[in-house]
Amino acid sequence: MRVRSQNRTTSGVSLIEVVMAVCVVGLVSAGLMGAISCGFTMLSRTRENQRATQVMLEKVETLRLYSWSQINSNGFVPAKFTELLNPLDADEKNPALITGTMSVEKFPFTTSYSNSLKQVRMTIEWRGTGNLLRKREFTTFIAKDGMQNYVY
Amino acid sequence: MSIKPSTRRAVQGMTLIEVMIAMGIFSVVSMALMTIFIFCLRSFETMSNYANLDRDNRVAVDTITRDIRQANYVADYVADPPALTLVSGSDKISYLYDADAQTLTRSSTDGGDKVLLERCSELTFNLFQRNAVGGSYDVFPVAKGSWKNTVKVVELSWRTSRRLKGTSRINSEYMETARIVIRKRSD
Repeated sequence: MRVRSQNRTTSGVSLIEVVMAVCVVGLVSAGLMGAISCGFTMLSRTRENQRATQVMLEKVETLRLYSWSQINSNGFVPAKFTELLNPLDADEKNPALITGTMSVEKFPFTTSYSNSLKQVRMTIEWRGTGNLLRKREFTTFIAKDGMQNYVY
Repeated sequence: MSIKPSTRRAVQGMTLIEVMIAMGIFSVVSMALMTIFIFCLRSFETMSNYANLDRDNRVAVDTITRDIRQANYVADYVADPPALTLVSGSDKISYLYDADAQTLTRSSTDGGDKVLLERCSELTFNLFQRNAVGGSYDVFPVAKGSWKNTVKVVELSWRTSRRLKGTSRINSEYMETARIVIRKRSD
């Protein structure tokens, strides 16, 4: 009987193999970290958009309460407003804010009923994730006697 | 039969120092990999929590908005624990907050009970009348006595959160606010 050691099994791994393995592990880890970071960024952008949409809807809901004379009264509808980007930051010293403008404008089309309609344009902006400036705009119409003559 | 020893180097074991160094390197690498693994797991769970939280809040605010907009009037309101009852056509819809269970439940005469919010640590309803305050986006609150006849706007806010599985630590939190006008009330 002959006992023979096997060189292949007892030999270690070469430097090249180790470097390759480390590179593969490094690439996979970097990719995973990148994916997680990207996921969190997308998540916070979505949350910011959701919050911004909610802020715009709250302002537009308030618009529905105004009478035609109030809409046309100079200064009754505030031209500017600010809201917290995250309502949980109410106690923070310098919380992130959403700033907005609201303007009541002439109806942009020429029709027989132009004088009974107004266009309201709202813009909001905030600095969110990555300190990037983000802007959104909302436009709606307000009619003196309602939007349809069959609704009463 | 002859047994031939293989070369000395090949059959040689490892010294204690070598074993210890190998174990040390193995431990450090394992720890690093485990840390990355746990970090990834927690991150994915946090993302999942936020996504679920956003979805649940959106569904809840959409449901409440639809109910309030279509309501005829507010039939009942309690500040603590918060509760709101709306009359919409022939149906009665109630929102009840349970502070112990931290849930908001919607009960309707046309469709039973449904838990809209879970792990809701804070919730408020505020009622306002139609008259807006000029130069601001504020609205006058309802009268104290005969408030039922004057409710035109309902404001609500709530705070919900999620925890990491197996821990008591909150890792995602959300605060929702909304202002909803009852469309069917003409005054």
